[in-house]
Amino acid sequence: MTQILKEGGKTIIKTGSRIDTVNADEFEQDIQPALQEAGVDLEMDCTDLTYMASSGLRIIQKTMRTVMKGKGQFKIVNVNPAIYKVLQMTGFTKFMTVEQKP
Amino acid sequence: MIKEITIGNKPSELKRVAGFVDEIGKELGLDGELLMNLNLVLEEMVSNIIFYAHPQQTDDYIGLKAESDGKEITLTLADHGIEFDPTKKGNLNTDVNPAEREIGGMGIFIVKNIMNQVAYQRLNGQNMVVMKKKIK
Repeated sequence: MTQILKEGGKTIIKTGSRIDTVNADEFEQDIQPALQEAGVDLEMDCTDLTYMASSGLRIIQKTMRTVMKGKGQFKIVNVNPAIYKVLQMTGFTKFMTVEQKP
Repeated sequence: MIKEITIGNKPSELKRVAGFVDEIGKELGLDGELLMNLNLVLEEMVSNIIFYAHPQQTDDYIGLKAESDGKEITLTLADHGIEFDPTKKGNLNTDVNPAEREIGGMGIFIVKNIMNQVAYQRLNGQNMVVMKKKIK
């Protein structure tokens, strides 16, 4: 289940364990409240994420666009190594901050 | 090892695909990353068939087969949809910011990156995709 948290000036999207073909639309709906304000300082926390399909990457792509338009910031944190490799192979890590799980 | 299942062309059937990959993983003793990758590959390929192979929303069944000698795994997919050759798709310029690229178009690219080989054949009105991955 996706959660939206506010911490200091930051908005945090805490993902559930999977973002796949079946639940991607729901995830996209769930994160809309976090994308309303311009200049948002957004962090996607993937601590619980163990699986993400390309439908999840599409949503990250769209989120990057929205945040860029509003001149905000967007980073992804606590990504597991296998998902990190997918973000790397598709070119995301070159253009945004993606931090692996410590 | 040889395992086969037949699934319907509905998104709800993707759960059975994940179960199929889990069974393969247990039998071959695959690590978590490889398991996730194979799951990803089959989900991307199967969801393409589900969403695009039948523009008229016709019911179809998709055959999935996994074979392994312990060193390599071969995944075969067969469907009866419109002709679609994935080997000709899935090029992505990863030097362009994803925010400035077209949305999507990453599924087949990921499949080709994960697998060591992807081959396609149109045979008797079926799309046959054969994919190989070294596991040892």
